[in-house]
Formats: sequence, structure tokens, C-alpha cells
Amino acid sequence: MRWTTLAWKNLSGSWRRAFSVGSFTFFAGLFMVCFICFIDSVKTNMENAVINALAGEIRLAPAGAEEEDIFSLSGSWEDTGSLTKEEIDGAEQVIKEIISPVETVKRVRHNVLLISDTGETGAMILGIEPHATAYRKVLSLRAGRYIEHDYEVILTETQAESLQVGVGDILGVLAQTKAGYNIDSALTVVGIGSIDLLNLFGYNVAYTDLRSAGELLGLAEGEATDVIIYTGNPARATEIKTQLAASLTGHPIAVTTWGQTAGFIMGGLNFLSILYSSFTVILLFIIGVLLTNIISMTLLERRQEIGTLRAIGFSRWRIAWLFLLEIALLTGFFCLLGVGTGSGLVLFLGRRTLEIPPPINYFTGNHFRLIYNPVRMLPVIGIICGVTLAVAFFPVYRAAKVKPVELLQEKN
Amino acid sequence: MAIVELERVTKDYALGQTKVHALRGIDLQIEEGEFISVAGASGSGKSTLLNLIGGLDSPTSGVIRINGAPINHLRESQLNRLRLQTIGFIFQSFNLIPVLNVYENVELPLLIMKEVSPQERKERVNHFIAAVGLSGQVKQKPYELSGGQRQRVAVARALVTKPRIVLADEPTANLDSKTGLEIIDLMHRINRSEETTFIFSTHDAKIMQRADRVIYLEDGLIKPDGSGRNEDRP
Repeated sequence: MRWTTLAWKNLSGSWRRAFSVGSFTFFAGLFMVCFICFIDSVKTNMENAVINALAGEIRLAPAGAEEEDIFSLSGSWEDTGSLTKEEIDGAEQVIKEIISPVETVKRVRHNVLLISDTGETGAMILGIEPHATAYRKVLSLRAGRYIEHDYEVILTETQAESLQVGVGDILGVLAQTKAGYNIDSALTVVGIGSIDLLNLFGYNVAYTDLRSAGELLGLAEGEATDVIIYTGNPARATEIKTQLAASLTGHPIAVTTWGQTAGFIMGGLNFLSILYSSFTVILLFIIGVLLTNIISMTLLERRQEIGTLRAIGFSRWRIAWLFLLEIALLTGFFCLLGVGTGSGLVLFLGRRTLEIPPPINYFTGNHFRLIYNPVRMLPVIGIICGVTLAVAFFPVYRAAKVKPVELLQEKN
Repeated sequence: MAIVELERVTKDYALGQTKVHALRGIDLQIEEGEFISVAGASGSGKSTLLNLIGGLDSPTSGVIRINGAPINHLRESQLNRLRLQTIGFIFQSFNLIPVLNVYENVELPLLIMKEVSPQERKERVNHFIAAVGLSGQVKQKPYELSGGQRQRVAVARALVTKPRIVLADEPTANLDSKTGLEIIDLMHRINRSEETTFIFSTHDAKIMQRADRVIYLEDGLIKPDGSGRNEDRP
């Protein structure tokens, strides 16, 4: 007979009390897997929205531009200056030499006044090259299509409602060039939609084509306010930024990552992470208290057994070790069961896009898809098993250190 | 040299505000291979005496020597070792582990005897299970056995470490008189074949008669004529 056999026999011989301890670790595993996957999915979806809609993974902007947080509304966006065609061409050459970007998009950002027959509204426009695809991944169209030609615009639902326009209508646009002159233009509404994940942050941007936006800002052909780069791996943004910044030394270009550019949103995501951590700590604390009580009660029932083992020569540490081994086996089994069940549930739900009602959709968007990352399950198992063994140690040690004669006298 | 020696041993318990004098100054010598009964009424100090000899409890005063060495001030680990290697215990309520079968219950103390190889462990367990006549029940759990059979398992468990002393606290109290006598006779046979010293407590006169010597306890003291030899035992 081995120690694990002895521990297993003790557990299976009293499956009811084993189940009562195990059920807590099962539900802890299940809950933590679901919760961690939900938070990870929200975070990943939000990051994707920020990156694809706005920030890119890496952004090249004129040197000296201090505007790092896109959502910091102090100052005018056009004050950040622009990149010349030569600067952009030079930078693009360096980018091609260092990395193989999935997509590089020149952009012009500007503040304008959109005017319809029934009203007008101030808006930020984002001029992009018609071949750009990244924004299409996160901009859900309620009507119309994406930008394909010059002098086209996609309005948000709020803007369309405010201006009372639809697809096919023509809008007047009033703006001020970087030289300070007023300029007007006309854009055809080709689509209406929104990036609902960013609605929470008041994101209200009209997408237009690069040429139209450039004219409204008074830029020459080939100029842009910034260039955004997609490498396909946002996690490597900081590393690539360092490489690019080193290679662009001497160029009047500042390189920033999406984390720097969208600092406010990232702060919001960190808040979600803190929220998750707090929930986890509270959950584990409650489970810890309940488990301590259950384990103490279980050990009370087994005092005669402890006394017998002490009488036949088992040391208190050996007994404590035996009980902890039982708890480790029990916790490991039920925790794996809980994590397995939770993983199955997440994988099942992750196969379909969920329609999320308000107000949860502020965090998830109207359409939400759960993402499962198996690597994230390892810390869940480690934390649950670690906490259970830690809270079990005190009652186990306390039970094992009682004098054997006291334990034996209770029955004999 | 006596294998067990007690010198002016006292044991007091605090029972609320009251102090109970369980043993009031016991002097006792037990030779190796003896088959001894400790007799006396309930509360006379029989269990306390056995617990002290077994190192399960410590005396208030006096000296207890096992094999010539005092055990009063042994460290916890040394007492564990003493109980494992030198002393075997048999309890009134058998105290078997309910989830383990006969073989596993007997094997249990050997799990912590590192000096016993797995092969020797197996041989010893089978030998003592056969010695108590339970070779046909090795796979059975305690709840599948009769009271007498359970106590036989407890006897085998106590003997499997080859202790020099076996302490049995009222081993027949939970058995009918016929089964009780069978258990005592079994213990006596093993006492002779293995030369193991047996000290058991009882208040059953028939059981006492099986002992080589009976020690009578009364109010925590050995009666003046209470350590005599049984001349009429079978």
C-alpha cells in the first residue's frame, strides 16, 4: 500500500465529506475559468477595437507631437502637425527593412463641422486610404458599405441621427486648413455604423477617405497626420517600436505604441483587471473560510483515527502530511473537474456570437464572443490548490498535534 | 533486567477545579515475556497506567523505564519511535481504519518503518494475519468482520512491528465472554511463541485467570497483595 493509495481510500471511503470539500473547489474552478475568460475576452476585444479602429499597433507621427492619448481632448488634433511625403516614404522604407507589416495605413485626422439640410454637428473625421482593411474588422455597418472611393464618408449612428441623413445623402463639410483658412467640401454618406465597444468612451468618429480629409486640412498629395502599422502581433508592439525608433533616428518622426496612444482606454481595461482580481480575492477568501470550517469539522470526526495513528507511532507531521495529501488529491481532482467544466462551457459558448443586452454591452459590445486561452488555466489551478492547501494547513496541524491519549480517551 | 519499570509514579488530572489523583505512587517491575493482567474497578487507574507505559501520556512524578531507559523526558519524535518499534497497542474498540481491509490495517504501522523492505513487509503481514487465523479474510473490511475477528486484526496490527511489549486496554470489553477468552488465549499463544510481553487491563475475573500475574489497582494504588502470580490458571 502506498501513501497515495491510503489517502485515496480515505477519500473514497467517506465520499460525502470529500464531496462537500471538493464541491467548493469545483465551483471555484468553474467560476474562475468563466470569469477569467470573460475578462480576457472583453480585454482582447477592446484592445482589438482600439487597435483596428484607431491606434494601430504602432503609430508614426511628427516629432514633438505630445498628443499621446487619443481620448485626451485638450488642444486641437490638427495642432499635432503632419508628415511630409518624403518623411513617410523614408519611414515606409525603414519599416519594410525591419518588419513585414500586415498593413500600413496613412491617415489624416481633423476636426470638421458636418452640415445637412436639417442640422449640423461637430465631428472628428479620420481619413484613410480606401484599401485600408483593419477598421472594417471592428466597425459594424448598420447600412451601406465601407469607403471605396474619394469624397465618401461613413457616419456613426449618433451622427446620422443628429443630422437626419441616410446612405446616399450628401453632407456639407466645413473645416479650417492648417494654414488657418476656412474650407468647405461635400461628402457622400456611403455607410452608417459604429464601433460599439468604444461607445462607452464617447468614440464618435466619421471615417472618410484620405484625399478628402487631406484637402480639408490643407495637406499636399502624399502628406498625412500619421501612419499606423499593423504587424499582426500587438504583444510585440513595444519591441518593434524600439527597433523602429532606433532605425528612424535622425528622422523627425515620433514612434508610439497602441498602449501609449490609447492610454485612457488601457486604463479602463486595467480597471477591469483590478475588478477581476478583487472578485477573485473575495471569492477565495470566502472559500477559504468555508473550507477551514469544513476541514475542521471533518477532522473532529476523525479524532479517534488520528489518536490510533499517533499510538502506533505516526508522528504529528506524518499525520498532517497524510491529511494534506488527501486534501491535495481531492482539491486537484475537483479543481481539474471545475476547470474542465468551465473550459467546456467557455468553448461551447465561444463557438457562437452572443447578443448582449444593455448595460453589459458597454463592456462587451452588442455582439460578444468568448475567447478561451488554455495557458490562463494553469494559474487558476495553481491558485485554487494553493489556497486550499494553505487554509487546510492550520486545522490539520492543530488536529495532529493533540496528545494521542486525549484523542483515544474520547472513545475508549 | 525488567523490561518495564515504574518507580513512584503518580498521575494527576485536573477535572475542572478538582484535581483527580489517577495514580498515587506506583512501583512496578515487569519482566520480559510476562503475560500480565491489570485488574481493578472502573476509575482505578488501569488505562492511565497503560497509557503511561505506552508513552501516550507523561507522569506527574516518578520514573518510567522501558528496557532500562527512562522515557519521561523523551522528545516527541523519540516517543513516536518507541511506540513504533517497542510497543504495540490493542484497544477496546479495536480502532481499525474502516476504509482499509484486513491486510492494509495490519500493514499500516509498517508504512512508516523505513527499515522494513516491501518484501519483508508482505511476509510479516501475511505471517501475523495467519497467526491470528484470518488468512481467509485479508480482503475484508472491518465492517464485514465480527467483533472477535476485528480484535484479531488489531492483535495482528499490534504485533506486525515485532514489538517487545504489547499493551491492551480492556481488549475483551466489547466482546462476548467466549470470544473474549479466545482473544486472550490467542494473545497468550503469541506471548509464548514470540516471547512478547503482554500487559492487558480487564475487570473480568475469568480473563484475569489467564494471566501469569495479576496486578490489582484500587484508587490509583497497587493493592498490597495485588501483584501476585496466578497459580490456578489453565
